Amino acid sequence: MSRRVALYAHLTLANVKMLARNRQALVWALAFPVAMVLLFSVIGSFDLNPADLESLGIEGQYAAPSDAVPIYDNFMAHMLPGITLWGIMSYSIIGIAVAMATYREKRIFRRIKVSPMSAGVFFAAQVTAYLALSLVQAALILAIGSLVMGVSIAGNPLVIGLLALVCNLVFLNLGFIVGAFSSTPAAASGLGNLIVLPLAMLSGVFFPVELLPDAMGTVVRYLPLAPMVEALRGVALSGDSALRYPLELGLIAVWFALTGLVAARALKFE
Amino acid sequence: MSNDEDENTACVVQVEGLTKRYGDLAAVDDVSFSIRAGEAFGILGPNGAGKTTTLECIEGLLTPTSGAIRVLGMDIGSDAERIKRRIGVQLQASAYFDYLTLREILELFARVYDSDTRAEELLATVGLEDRANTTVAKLSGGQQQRFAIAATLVNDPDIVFLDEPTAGLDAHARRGLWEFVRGLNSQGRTVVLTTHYIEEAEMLCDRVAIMDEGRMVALDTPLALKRRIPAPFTFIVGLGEGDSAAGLESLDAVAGVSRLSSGGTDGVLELRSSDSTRTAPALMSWLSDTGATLTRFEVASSTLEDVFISLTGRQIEDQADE
Repeated sequence: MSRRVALYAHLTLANVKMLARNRQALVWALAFPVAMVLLFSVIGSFDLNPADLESLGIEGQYAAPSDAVPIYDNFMAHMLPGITLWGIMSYSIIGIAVAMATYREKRIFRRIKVSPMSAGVFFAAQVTAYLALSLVQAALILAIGSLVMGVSIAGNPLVIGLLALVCNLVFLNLGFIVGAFSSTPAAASGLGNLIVLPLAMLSGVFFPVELLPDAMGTVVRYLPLAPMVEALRGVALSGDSALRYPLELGLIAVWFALTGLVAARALKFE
Repeated sequence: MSNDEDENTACVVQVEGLTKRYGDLAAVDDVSFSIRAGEAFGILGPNGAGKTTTLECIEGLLTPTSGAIRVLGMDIGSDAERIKRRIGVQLQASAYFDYLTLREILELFARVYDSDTRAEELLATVGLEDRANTTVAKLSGGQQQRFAIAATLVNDPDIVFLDEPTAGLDAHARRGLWEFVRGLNSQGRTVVLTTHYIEEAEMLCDRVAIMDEGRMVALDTPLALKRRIPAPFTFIVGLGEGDSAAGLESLDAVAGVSRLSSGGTDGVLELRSSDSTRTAPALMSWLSDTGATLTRFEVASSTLEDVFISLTGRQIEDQADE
């Protein structure tokens, strides 16, 4: 047993190294969301009509530290949790999908299969490395929002981190599924984007779900990202207990179970 | 490892009635053979003959449709985990992680097998000691193949399986790799390899199994295989101007004479012989008896290619790679 644990630890570390050395993907994971935060801070600093924000349900929604807080702080605060999740989602889904397609194409799966390493250890190490990186992503994006943009993060960092990890488990399952159905790394990247972009656009990251047509909004509310954004906003900005979002947490759990089942069936260690 | 003594004198791989079907197609069709401890065993055949499928069934990568396989005395179906700890497998065209250095990959695999980390030593045996901190992508084709083989040695395996180890390599790199494989074998390791290069099978293997269309059509030492051909030797004989070839056909052990070229004044003949040790003296005494002049003389032994042609009516390297 300890042999397996030692192998798992070694492989996890090797995976973290591999992720850290893939500069292009790392820039995508860290710099892009940060650039997005900065971009929105510029947009938010323009003269926004308070009435417009109010109509979007943004103004005055979060506990502001004082009355003197300018409007764009609330706008920025509103965007920050969504951008965090979007960053984690892009990196995890596309990263895992491309990695799986590459491993299959380069026959690394087969090389592992002729060794005594179990598939369980191999995938566990993969997942752990991505979970660790998503914590770095979340910390960096929220820290920049907080320190540079002055968004007040009222939530407990531990709870925020835990929620980010739970959300990322769903993303990683999706990544494994995309990787299983992609014949090449390029196809995996394309198919991954096909899932990431619409989810990010529609799920209330950049504009509220309320603005969508009714039928579409209803559908989007049950897709994985919308309940995550909803829950993380409450937990991170208002300092709510995660338990105040039973519907959202339930949806995330259902998505985790569903994607996990499909991933386990679809992914062949070949 | 108390039973090592037994294994050394016994067979390390036993394959009985191995069949692997994909739908209606039998990639491997009722193949049986044994591999002895310490030998270099080759599976030779054209692409699609079932060589790789056979190897991958033995390695535990594929599940046979029917048949029994024992490796190191253990059943591959029920004891795969223990077998995998004692074999080394180099897969056809397999690659390694992009963002790890050679040393890191070997360290990782050492952990997989729970064996000592000997990264430097392994890299030195394949002449890559100065590339320890580079990634696989930065190696040449020959270096990548050498590294792949070094990686199969991490667990100090009893049997090394090499699937088309020199495919795609240039002649120089191929010869270098042969030296290395011979070295592995001389350390007492059993080496099992597949190839569609005639020369490779002849140079490296103690015994060669010839496969075609999923079946094993012959298995023996390269020499014995070549002796199976009715007339395995070819004498190329050039005669002087005006010399008659009469009487050559009836020489001892000569199976047939054909005229290679008859242009100009001299004739070059090809004598097929069943036994070179009888044909040669007979030819010499024929020369002194008739007074004919010898202008050209070559003796060629047949190759495994000829064996394959005589067994299947086709050439092995028909669809040879680039």
